[in-house]
Amino acid sequence: MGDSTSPSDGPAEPRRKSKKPKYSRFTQQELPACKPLLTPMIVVTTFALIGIIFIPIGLASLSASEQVVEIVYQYDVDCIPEQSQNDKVAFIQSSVTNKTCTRTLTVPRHMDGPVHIYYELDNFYQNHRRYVKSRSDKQLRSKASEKVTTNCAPEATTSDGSVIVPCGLIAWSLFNDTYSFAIDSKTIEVNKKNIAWQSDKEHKFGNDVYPKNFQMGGLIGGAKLNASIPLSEQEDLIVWMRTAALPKFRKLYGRIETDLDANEQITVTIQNNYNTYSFEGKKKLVLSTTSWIGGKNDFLGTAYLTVGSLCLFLAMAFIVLYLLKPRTLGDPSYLSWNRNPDGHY
Amino acid sequence: MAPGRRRHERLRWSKLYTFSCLRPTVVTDDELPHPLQGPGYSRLVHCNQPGLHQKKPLNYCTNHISTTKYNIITFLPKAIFEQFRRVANVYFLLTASLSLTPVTPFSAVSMIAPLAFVVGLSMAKEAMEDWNRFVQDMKVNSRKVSVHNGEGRFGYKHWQEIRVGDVVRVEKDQFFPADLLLLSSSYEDGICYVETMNLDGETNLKVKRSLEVTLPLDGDASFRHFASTIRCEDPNPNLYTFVGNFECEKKVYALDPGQILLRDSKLRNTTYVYGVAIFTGHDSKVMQNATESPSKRSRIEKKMDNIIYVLFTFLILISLISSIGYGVLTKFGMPHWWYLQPSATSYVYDASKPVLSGFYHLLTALILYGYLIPISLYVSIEVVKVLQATFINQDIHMRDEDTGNPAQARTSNLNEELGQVDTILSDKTGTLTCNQMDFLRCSIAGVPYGVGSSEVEIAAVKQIASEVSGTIEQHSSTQDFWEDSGDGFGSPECELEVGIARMVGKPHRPTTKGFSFEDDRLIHGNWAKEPNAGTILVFLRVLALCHTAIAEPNEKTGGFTYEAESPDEAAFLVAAREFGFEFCKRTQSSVFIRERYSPSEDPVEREFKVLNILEFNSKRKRMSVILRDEAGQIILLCKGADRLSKNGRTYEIETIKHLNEYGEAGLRTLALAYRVLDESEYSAWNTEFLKAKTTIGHHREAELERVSDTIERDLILVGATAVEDKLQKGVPQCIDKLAQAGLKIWVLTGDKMETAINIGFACSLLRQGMKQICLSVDSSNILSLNKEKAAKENTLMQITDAHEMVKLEKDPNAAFALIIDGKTLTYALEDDLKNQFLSLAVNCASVICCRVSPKQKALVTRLVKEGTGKTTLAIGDGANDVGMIQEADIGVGISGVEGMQAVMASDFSISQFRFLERLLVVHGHWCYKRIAQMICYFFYKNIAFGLTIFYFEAYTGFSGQSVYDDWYMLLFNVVLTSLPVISLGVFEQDVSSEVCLQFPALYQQGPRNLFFDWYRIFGWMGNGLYSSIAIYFLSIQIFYNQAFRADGQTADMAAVGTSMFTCIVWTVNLQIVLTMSHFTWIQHLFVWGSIATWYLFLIAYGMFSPVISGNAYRILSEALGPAPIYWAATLLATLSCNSPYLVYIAFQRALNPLDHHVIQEIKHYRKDVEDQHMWKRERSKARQRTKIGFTARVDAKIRQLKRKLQKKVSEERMWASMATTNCASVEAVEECLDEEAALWLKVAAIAAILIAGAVGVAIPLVGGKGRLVRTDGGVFVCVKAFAAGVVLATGFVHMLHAAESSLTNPCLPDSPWRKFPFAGFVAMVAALGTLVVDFVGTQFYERKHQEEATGAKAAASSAAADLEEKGITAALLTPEADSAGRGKDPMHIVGIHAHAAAHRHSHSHAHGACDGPALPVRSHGHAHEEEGEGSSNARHVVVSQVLELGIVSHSVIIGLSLGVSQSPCTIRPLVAALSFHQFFEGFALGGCISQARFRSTAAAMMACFFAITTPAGIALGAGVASSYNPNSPRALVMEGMLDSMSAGILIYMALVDLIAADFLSQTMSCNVRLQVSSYLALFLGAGAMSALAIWA
Repeated sequence: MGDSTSPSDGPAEPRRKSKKPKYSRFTQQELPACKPLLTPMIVVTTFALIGIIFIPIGLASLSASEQVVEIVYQYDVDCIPEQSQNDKVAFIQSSVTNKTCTRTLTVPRHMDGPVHIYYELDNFYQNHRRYVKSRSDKQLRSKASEKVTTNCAPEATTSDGSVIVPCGLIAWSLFNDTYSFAIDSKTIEVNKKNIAWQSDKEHKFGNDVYPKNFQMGGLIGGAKLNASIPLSEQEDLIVWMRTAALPKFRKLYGRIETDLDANEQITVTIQNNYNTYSFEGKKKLVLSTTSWIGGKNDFLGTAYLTVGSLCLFLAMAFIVLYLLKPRTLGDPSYLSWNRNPDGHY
Repeated sequence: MAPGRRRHERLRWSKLYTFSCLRPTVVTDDELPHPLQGPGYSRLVHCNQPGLHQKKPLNYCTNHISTTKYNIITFLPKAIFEQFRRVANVYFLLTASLSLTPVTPFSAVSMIAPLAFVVGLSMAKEAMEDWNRFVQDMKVNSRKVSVHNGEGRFGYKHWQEIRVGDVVRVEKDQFFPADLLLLSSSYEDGICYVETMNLDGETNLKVKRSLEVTLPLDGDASFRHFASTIRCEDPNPNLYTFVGNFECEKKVYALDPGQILLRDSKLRNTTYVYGVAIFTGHDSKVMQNATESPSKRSRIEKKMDNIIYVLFTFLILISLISSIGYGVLTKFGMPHWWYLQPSATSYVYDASKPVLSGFYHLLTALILYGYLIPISLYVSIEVVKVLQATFINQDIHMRDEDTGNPAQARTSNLNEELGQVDTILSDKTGTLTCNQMDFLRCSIAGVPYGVGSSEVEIAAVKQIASEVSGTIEQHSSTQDFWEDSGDGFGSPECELEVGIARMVGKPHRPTTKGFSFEDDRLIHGNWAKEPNAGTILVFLRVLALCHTAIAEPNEKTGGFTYEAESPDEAAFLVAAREFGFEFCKRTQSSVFIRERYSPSEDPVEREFKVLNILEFNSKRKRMSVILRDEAGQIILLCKGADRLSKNGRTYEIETIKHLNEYGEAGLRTLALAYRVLDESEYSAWNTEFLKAKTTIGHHREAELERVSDTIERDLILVGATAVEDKLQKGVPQCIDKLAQAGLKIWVLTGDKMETAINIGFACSLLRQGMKQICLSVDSSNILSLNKEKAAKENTLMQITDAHEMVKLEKDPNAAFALIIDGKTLTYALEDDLKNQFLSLAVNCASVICCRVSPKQKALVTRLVKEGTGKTTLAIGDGANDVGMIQEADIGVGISGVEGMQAVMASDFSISQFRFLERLLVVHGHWCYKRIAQMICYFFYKNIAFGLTIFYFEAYTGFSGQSVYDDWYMLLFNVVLTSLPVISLGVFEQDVSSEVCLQFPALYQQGPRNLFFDWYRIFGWMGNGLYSSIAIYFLSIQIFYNQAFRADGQTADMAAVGTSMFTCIVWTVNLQIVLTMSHFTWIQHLFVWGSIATWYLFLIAYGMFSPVISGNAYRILSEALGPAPIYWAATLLATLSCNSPYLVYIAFQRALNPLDHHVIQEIKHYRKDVEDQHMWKRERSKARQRTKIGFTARVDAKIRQLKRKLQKKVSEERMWASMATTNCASVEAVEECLDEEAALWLKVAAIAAILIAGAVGVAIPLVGGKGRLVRTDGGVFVCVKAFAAGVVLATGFVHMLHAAESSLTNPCLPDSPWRKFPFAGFVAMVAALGTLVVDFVGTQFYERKHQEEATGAKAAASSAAADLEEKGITAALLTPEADSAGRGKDPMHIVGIHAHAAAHRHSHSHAHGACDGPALPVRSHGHAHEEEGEGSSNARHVVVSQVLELGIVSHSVIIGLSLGVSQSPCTIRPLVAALSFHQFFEGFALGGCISQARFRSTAAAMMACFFAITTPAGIALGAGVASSYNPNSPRALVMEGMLDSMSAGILIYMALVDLIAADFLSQTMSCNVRLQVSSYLALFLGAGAMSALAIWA
């Protein structure tokens, strides 16, 4: 732009180096492309295919769910003695009352082992923000980070300032009802091993981390932990620490490895310790077998069947539609200027 | 200084110029200087004393200009302010600051970082753009100019250093640095030529002249002691006015615009001028005209803001729900939730203060649900737009081959606006035209010369050539008579085609600039051999002599270059030179031309003494010179002459014809004429002229004009010239395509009206046959005291009139063009008129505004923009277009030869107008759809995602816990869904660019906003809502509380969240696959890659230490992956979320496909290749509504040709068949031919008439059957009388007339058809025939009856009555009938007539008998009762059958005539009329049938037969419409015969069988009330039916 100083220069004429656009299929937006077309054939095929795939899946899930045998027993009211029914909270909070409760359950159908034992709580907000945050993964993992109790308040330290391990509300409110089972007064072994995720035991909960100052404060939430067993082996705690998504949830308690025959009477001895009465939560004991879809859940199968049959119906409806209102693809008479000759603007 | 220069500098031009060099002298008493008092006139300039202007109050602004939006200090606050004008940004700022407090559900960095990124990116962009502006300003500011330094020395200074009062010296072809007062020039008399193209776009040079008093200041040295003062108006944007006084040596001189040199205009043809700066920098007029460069935002973006408001409201709503829920739960639930230790909570969870907690929670919720309002949207849009802009910049189809300039998107935020443009406002010079004139054709002595064709013609011919095959094909299918006369049809068009193709075929060889003339008859001296050589000689001399140009020898070529005021003039001179009349020298008093009569001869130099020059001005529209030739003869040569003497009109007719042709071809035309003056006449005139010239005062100009007029009379026409104002390459084609795309084009030009109109023709914005509305107010002609007001009223009147005219126009093909001049525009743009003006303008196909100032351009743009609410695009190339470019929604600058101001102010720059087509139709269309779809999708996906968070809240006690991991949420917008949507925004193509260009009509999807209207937006939001619900509840239900794996584990929050999130990722990514229609490998990569990324992320995230990944540790590999239910849930949720959309698009495509769908299909099945006719036909149909552009022009021409052809064809047919002459003259040309609409109307007509007829015939039948209406009751009689009236009127008024006109149609041969009144004759014969049939039929029935019943006993008794009746019947009919009747056996005409006659007789005798009960009458007839019953029924049978015959034959004909009509205009009234007609006829017939007491099946059959005949006729007519020619003799004769026959039948029936029967009946004669009402009904029926004849 050397000549721009010359007085005879015209108006700003920056003879910019003309950036010569280069030809490439990319810059000219001419890349080869597939342009799928939604033809009636494709529409009908798609819906029919969805239907054809979904219905078997739905049937399979339903039958899988059907195979599952489930015994659900709600004991939160049952296990309160008659005289304490009016003040359940006082009963449960009292340290003197006898909280043992024995009931008999009947096996409706043959249950193949292992039979999973769950406790089910209702109206318990394990997913409350305050609750969910109240833990320290670092502390759980290694002894070295024992002091990391960032989000654990108010269960971070004891009143004298020493660290609580495991800290936080989740651990503090650990479920502490216990169940034992017997058939014909023969105790059934409850296997409490391997109820937590393997990875949790191995990597998330340190095998050198031992409970410390746990449930020592003024307020005692739930279960106490054996201070001599490392956290990685406290599987009840590990399961409990996996917070549930909904206020009604089940957690694995243990397994009965043997089969249960139909009409067998199972005597359950429940230590009814856990306070769900304050917030009117239900407590249930669940014995359930599993299939490939897990526990009993008819919803999945029903949903598949519904969507599948709906899609089949749609496929049918579209066939009818295309028969009733056939439109040759690419028929120019459907162009706006042909349909509305008085002006398509 | 070149030695040749000085020669013409000695000239004192002012002596030659008559008008523009009126030099005001010292202010005299009667012409006081402007008082210059009061506000607005305070400026005081000390010339040559710039020092005085360094301090207040005279410290005016410097000449430094700045067009930047920011400076270093203001950048940060202003740019940040700009950024936070976006509502969403404010919201994000709010959430970002909240994220620093404990209420946040997320980490602070994840909120602040994106915001900083988004804002920073946008600000960086702003800064870049502003920097460019700054550099541009710097370049202008640092231009140099020679300035007086004092002591008579001049030195170069930067423009920005010039102060008010500086004396500057500007050299040839330099720009003026400021608004200057011209002091003196290199010409002795102080004139100079100025080019103001940058200011007003005008190309012809303007003459400015200095004051007499400053003339001596013509050298550097003379400024040593120069000092004076100027008092003048304050800075204002008005380019054409200036008021000021120049005070020098105690004398005051008035200044006017003639002495002011405006900044940014250019000095031409003058070596140098001296001037003193009056207005500098931003005070200068051109800068005052500049408007603040606004920051523009596209319509879609504005609408997006609204969507964000909607979403924000929604967000607040759900936040409120959430926080209220939280408050309630905290108050009532929290105390019981011991596991949360409610006693030891912070304020956020305080159960004792639920309101406060609720409030804090509101903040939390606002952040939590923030995913509804995607921050990534802005980043993504920004990225997409930058990429789109890159594609625009890279498009090689928009790169100018010559200059190598590519198109440039200077701001990327208006890309999608390009797809929504409704109106284009275009500059003319430099934009449409390249300001180069080519002499193309001429007409001399009525003979056209020149075979070159203008670009418009070439373009049109190409169009026709491609059209012709199409049209023939198109019409042959429907109208066979095109085929019949295939040769005849083709011929005129072929002629036309061949004629022009010949011109096109010749390779264009423009040898000389400005001269494209090609015709061997004139060049190389061949003209001398032409028959009119003498006239040609005069013609060429006029070209060579009648001008004000200067010839400069060109050293290089040895020839001359011409410096002329206007390019036309230069073109003439070049043409004259090429023809052998070279203008070579001009002196003060003479013009020298070298004439060469043949190439071999040496040129003869001739001198013509110039006596007077009456130069061109826009009012006079002509220029003349008065010369004395070497022989001493005084001649006046005139260009643009329109007033001719009687004997000068020899060639007038031809010349005018040629002028029209040239005009149609888009050429500028001028008529040339001359006149020989007597010495005495001249001297007398010259005296008067000198007197006028020396008149003092403002009358002088008018006086001069008047005097000039007196000599420019009685001119002899020589010929006419046609000069092509060279359009830029491809302009007509581009305008054509844009017009087809439905865009309206306004031309705003500073040029004269004539020029503008010519260009309008050249670009096909105007065409012959378009109705031009010229609005212009000549205020000087208004002799009102209040000129302003009167002018305004006049404008209003013109606008209203024009509006009326437009409204009253019926022809759908009519097009209007509005042409308005600047002065009128001033009034039209005032607040109270502008809406009327606008509504007129939008009804016109094209609008041309001439002589508009830059400010007005901007105002017009604003008016269109705000008045219509549509998107406007302004395109221009000069500084004068900057205002409009900035004002319009989109400004496009042409980076051509002129300055860069327009480009700098523009949003897009292209190097040629023709690239606008691709910019809009391809890129605009794409960008609009891309952005619209992208935004919709964006909202969809964020709603689908964000709402699941909300639903989950309800299950967590509204605590603000999210089911998803923080990382998922962060990644959702950034990684998992961003690239597919960007690829949608960047690469999506609904149709390829070729299709876009082939179907410009597709562009209309943008202006109609099909893809971003609220339906669509809410549809997408609804889809999001549905998806969120489906995903959430499906996931929750599936992962309820049971084990989700065979191992018995239950799903925790991480598992549920992850699986839900998987569903979302799949759903939204599949959704975008359904949305896209164009998949390159990039889209595939992005979409499937995004889904894959999610799984990869899960695996990778799961491998991190659990401290980071928390509960998501090994979630996929350990927990979810092996669980079939996880995959099953994904499949279920994804497909059920996407099915409804699939159903929707399948439905839409099946039932209501959009244009691009159909075209996609055509392309997909390669139908365009296989069926090229269809493809071509659709392309031409797509532009049917276009009114401007040469396609419309060709269409109009084809229409015209068709009409001519139609005439010609029918003529030919007539010659062939009947040899009649003027058949065509009466043939109505169907104005609104529209076969499709006609067909629909016919279908409607069939239905309507069928129903009307059926109802009409059914009423009496059903009524009769059900005895609801007694067929002999009074009401029935009345109704029947009415029907009889109808039938009668039908016969007389409709049928007879129709027959008459058919049979006297000029298409029929004179002999025998017009020798004898066939219509009446046939009618008569038919009536007689009916009588016979009536008689025979009745006899037949009667016999049958008699045989069956009692025998012939009554025959004798009624014989007398029969005879009487016979007489009556005969009397009622024609005498012939009587005679004919006599031959028949009168014996057995019995029945109702007999009764009637008998009763009438008895009635006349014994009127009184009726007063009593009808008993005696009854008794009288009693004897005949039984017999009469039987025989009258027979009559009824016959009557009804004959009536049916008459009516039916008539019905077929009217049906047929409706059916064959192709014009909705004629069908529409016919339908209504025929429905009535049919109803009444049906009623009459139905009455007869019911009286005849047929068996029900027979009656029904007759009724049905009647009801279907007319519809059947219509159907038949429609079927044969294409082949049926209503004007063929056979058809005419058939029609006439049938019509007159049915007329005869109907008249007979009505009079005899209906009227006579009833009115003369016994019931009637005895019932006065019935009589009166029956007569009324009869007249009413007849009247009503007759009235229908007006329409049918």
